[in-house]
Amino acid sequence: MIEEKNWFSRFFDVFNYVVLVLIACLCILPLIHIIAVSFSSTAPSMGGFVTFWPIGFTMENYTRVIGAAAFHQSFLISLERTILGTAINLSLIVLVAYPLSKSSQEFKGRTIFLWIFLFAMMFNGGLIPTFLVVRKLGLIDSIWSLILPGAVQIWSIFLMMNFFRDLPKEIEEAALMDGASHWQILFYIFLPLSLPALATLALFAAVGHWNAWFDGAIYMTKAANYPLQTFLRTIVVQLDLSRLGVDPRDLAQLSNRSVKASQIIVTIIPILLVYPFLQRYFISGIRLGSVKG
Amino acid sequence: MKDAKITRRDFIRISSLVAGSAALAACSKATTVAPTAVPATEKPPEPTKMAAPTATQVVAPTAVPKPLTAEELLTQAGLPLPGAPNNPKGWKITFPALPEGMPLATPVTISSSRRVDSTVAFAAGDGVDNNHFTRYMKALLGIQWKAAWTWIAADDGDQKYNLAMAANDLPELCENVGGTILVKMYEADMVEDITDVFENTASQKWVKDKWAPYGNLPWAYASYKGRKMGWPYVERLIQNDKVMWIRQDWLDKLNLKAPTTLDELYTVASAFKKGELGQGAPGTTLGIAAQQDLGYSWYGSFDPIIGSIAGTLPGYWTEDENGNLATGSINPKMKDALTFLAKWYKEGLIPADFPTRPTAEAEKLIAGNQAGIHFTPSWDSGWGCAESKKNDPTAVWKPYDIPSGPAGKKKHWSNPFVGVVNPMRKGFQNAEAFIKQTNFMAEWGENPEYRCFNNPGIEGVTFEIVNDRISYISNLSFMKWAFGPVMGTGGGGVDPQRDLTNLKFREGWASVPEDQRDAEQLTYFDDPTGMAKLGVEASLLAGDVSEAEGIKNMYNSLPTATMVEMGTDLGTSGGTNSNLGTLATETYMGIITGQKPLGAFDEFVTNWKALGGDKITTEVNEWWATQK
Amino acid sequence: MTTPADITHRIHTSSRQRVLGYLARSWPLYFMLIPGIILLLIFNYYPMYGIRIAFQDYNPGLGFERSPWVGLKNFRFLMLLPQFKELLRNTLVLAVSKIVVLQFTAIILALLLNEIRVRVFKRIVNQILYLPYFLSWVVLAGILLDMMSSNGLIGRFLNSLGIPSFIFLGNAKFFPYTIVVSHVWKDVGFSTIIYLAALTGIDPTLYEAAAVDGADRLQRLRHITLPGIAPTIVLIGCLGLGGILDAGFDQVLNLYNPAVYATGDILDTYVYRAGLISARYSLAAAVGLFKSGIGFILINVAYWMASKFASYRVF
Repeated sequence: MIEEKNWFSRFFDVFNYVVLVLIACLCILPLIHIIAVSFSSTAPSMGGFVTFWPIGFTMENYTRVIGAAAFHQSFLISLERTILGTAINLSLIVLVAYPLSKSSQEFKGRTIFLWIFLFAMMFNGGLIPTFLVVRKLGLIDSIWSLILPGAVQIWSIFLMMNFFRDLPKEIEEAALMDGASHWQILFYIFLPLSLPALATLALFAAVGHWNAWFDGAIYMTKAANYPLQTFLRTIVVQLDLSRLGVDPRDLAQLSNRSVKASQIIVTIIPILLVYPFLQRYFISGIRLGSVKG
Repeated sequence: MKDAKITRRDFIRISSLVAGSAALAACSKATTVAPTAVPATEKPPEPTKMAAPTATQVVAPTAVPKPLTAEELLTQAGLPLPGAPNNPKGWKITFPALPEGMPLATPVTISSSRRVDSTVAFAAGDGVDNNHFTRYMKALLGIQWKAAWTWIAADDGDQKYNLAMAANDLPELCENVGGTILVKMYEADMVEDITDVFENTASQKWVKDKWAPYGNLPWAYASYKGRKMGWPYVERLIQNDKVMWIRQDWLDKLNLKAPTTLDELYTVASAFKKGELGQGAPGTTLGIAAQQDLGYSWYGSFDPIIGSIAGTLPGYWTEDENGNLATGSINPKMKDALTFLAKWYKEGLIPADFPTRPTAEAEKLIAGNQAGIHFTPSWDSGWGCAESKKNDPTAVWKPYDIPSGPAGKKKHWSNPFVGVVNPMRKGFQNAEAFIKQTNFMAEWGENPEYRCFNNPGIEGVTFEIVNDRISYISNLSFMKWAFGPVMGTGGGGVDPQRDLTNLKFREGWASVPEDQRDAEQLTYFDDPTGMAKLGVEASLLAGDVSEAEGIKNMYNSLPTATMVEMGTDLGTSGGTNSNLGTLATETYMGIITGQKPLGAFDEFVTNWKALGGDKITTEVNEWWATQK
Repeated sequence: MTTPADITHRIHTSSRQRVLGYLARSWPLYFMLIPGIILLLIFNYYPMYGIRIAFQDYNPGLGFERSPWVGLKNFRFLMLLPQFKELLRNTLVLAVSKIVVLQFTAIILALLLNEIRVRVFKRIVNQILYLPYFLSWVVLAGILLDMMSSNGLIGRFLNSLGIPSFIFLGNAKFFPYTIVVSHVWKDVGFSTIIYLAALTGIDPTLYEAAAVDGADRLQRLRHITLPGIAPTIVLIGCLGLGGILDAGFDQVLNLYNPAVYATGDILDTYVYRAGLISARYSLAAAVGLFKSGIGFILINVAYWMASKFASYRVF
């Protein structure tokens, strides 16, 4: 990095750090609060006394969430769905973005295809017809019902397409002159250069899969087939005590803010573990040697 | 040349389409999660009035073997008996006589949708359609229950019903369908008419007699064009009846008596606030808890205040001087109620941010010991009051009757037959068997002498007896496994009074000498925190005054055409989500928080009438005329 | 670009040969699109027949075939609603403010982060910034409501300054600010990442060359960095326009209340209350179609403007 020695630069650096630290604090506060609540006993959290440190420290909220056998099962289902789903998302993103990133001359009919994707991004038939299609394909209770309907992430495709377009043209021309096919250009040249974008979109897709609960709720008929977030929703049912047969034991379970909090933490942890891996690709610059223009 | 280009591309595309679909089809078979069996292909219908001689209760001499009792049937099937019959400190859960013709010689299968949430747990190896309840039903009645699909809470449950309708694949029995979707089902003719079956099969003593005092109410939502179209879901009568919960220890500290009028309530609330008796930061003690649902809600509600001043509630249809129905939303006396509440708000007796507070959040004010008064149903002894005591062991809560106002003592009255129904799919063959089961469950479950109501389940399966007390095994509950309108996750039943009946029965156990009590009785009277006793007291109190103080919504039918158009739900909240309901709430909140002047109410009335309110009133009164 | 060599080439080959040559080279481009197109056809285009719900009085039991056709009745109902103008205005105000403020903040943050030399710090801050994004609005709204209540952290702080904390969530004048700020707080992490990724795509040799030429920090920013990420900004802005009538349903639903409907009620929340809860799917579908239509038109307008005035093809 270029070194600057003047006073403005140094002031700016300090200012930069301070501002970023403040903002980071703002972002981390809610999480700390949730962690505190998740380790607290019910009464203090119900009373709203817990701020950033647990009151009445207990692990029982976590054991309740994690101990359930159904938890393990839905965890695995979500894991499988996320891995498979993200892989398919990324493949599609790359495969579709590459042709679309060519100009209309290089790729005849590009405009039509572009419109096909753009239109599909804006308009869709709605929940009921999509459900009927999924049902007709026999995908109810199948993990593919969670992966296929949303497999084509058009917004991400456009981002990737843009990224490809910004890559220096000379690289491609050089490769073409060497007689490379499109496949080779895509896989050996474009992909390695696009790691930051790929990592971003992969994370976006993965988080989407991990957090999704509604599709699990409607496409699965049995609780045994629920992905993680759908299962967790059974633990924290919609709080409307006007309709339920109110059994004191139920009350304690339904309204437990501490359990809700541990549910949230449990779902975030895998993401927090994966994120550092992908971070490398965002921060570091382009590693591969570039081509002299 | 252009044509050549297109056809070649087309060919590539078509062949890959074929290849792709083949790949997809292959992929969809390689599922990691086993697809469910296609539901509802049950056996061809057998006439249920089989009356095979061996199964009837005919007391014939010699040749015909005596019909087995319930206990014998269970033992024969190798199933454990409910209760704790074998324990020295145990008790028996007995059975009523089995319905006629049951157990069916040829078992029938009924598929049902089923709510499964975190309060429902199953024993090892069991599942939603394979547990002790389903096994009991099979052995005793010959009904095999299957779960077509499960749902978690109202919103995804509603969606699933929509989707099932669209796919023309409703379960045979639909559990707890919300009112608005119900209307769609009726209109699409997807529901079985059970008028005749009900007439012939429903138990006189345990169903019809229990519903007799309510007239047409049970069928308000479960009938369509005069025909009965589903089995009503029946709440417990005082489920949502408010009592006034007040901090007795605060009253004692300030030397005050519990208020009996609204003016006294004001004095007490102000004293609480000034006294800074709450547990929070200084200045945060409140007079009374509140949340954003003004007209009526299930916690920290204002309906006793509004009701006692205006004599009616927003969204409620009550009779006016001319015998017509008029809505409480535009009743001029509502202004008085709003003025009253506005004063409270100004003085900080109500939380300043109450409009942003969802109903459940009101509980926080209690658990956090910020508020000393709230209007909440009797079951709060187990929730808010209990949490409050945990956070402040000196807290003493006591339930009282609501204070009276210019209109006397009036509060929301729950119609136990809520806008939620259990319809049956059109073409359902086993309605008779289903109703017979419901008869059986109603008697077994709600006659306290069988000791089945709120039963702890089966010894060794759902509970153990430890130190002469009941100790539950994780959160297993036999009642939660039930299919059908009695018990189940929603805790439904047949008789709205079942709770109170059972409560009084259990209180009667006090006359049993302690050394002769069994484990269930001993556990019942165990009450270290005193909360259980409080709950009983509150329930009995609410039960006593329910009829006298309840404001009854006289419009009990499916929504009218204009109601549907303006958007409404069938909740007892009076359709707060509708256009008109929103308008009302906006106005009320504005006036109470001081953002709008009192004159805004008159403006609101004019708008309300113009935006369809008048039309609705006419439609409601047309219906009312047919009821007289 | 056509070079003299190309022209010569063209003269000497027949069109058929040229076509074949083109296909031989470029068939992978078409082939690559196939899986995507198939999936689109199955799960996006085929279900579009369901759009006709917007023109019917839909009853799921009657299905698409038998539900009565009502033409534009649902759209007319929507437009004639007294609140329609208000709903539309609120939706647009919230959506546009969110897009603008979010992108602005994200760009600034990305630039700030880019200047950090200590890798570890950069990483940690980045990770933390991204955290609120993972939490759903159901959760965040609950926390926000808590913190803003008179007993909560922010509430107590504000009250001690003499500002009633309630106004941010309960007063229609201030509610939009709360929505925009909380939205930025939640999503800025993700947007920052996108811009950071774009920033890493700028050739570092350009910076070196500029430094050699004597450009200072600000000049480097103006002439290299900003133009370098300009395409990303335009793209995201353009895509954002497509969702302009999506003012953040989840967020608003969990944060609003009747006291702030005047500025907080958006099309989606209205439809949720009056449409979905009352099972009026046709109205919901009509609003959805309306939104998609407007969004689609706007994207195309933005595209046209960008290409006309900036000679820049967004897509």
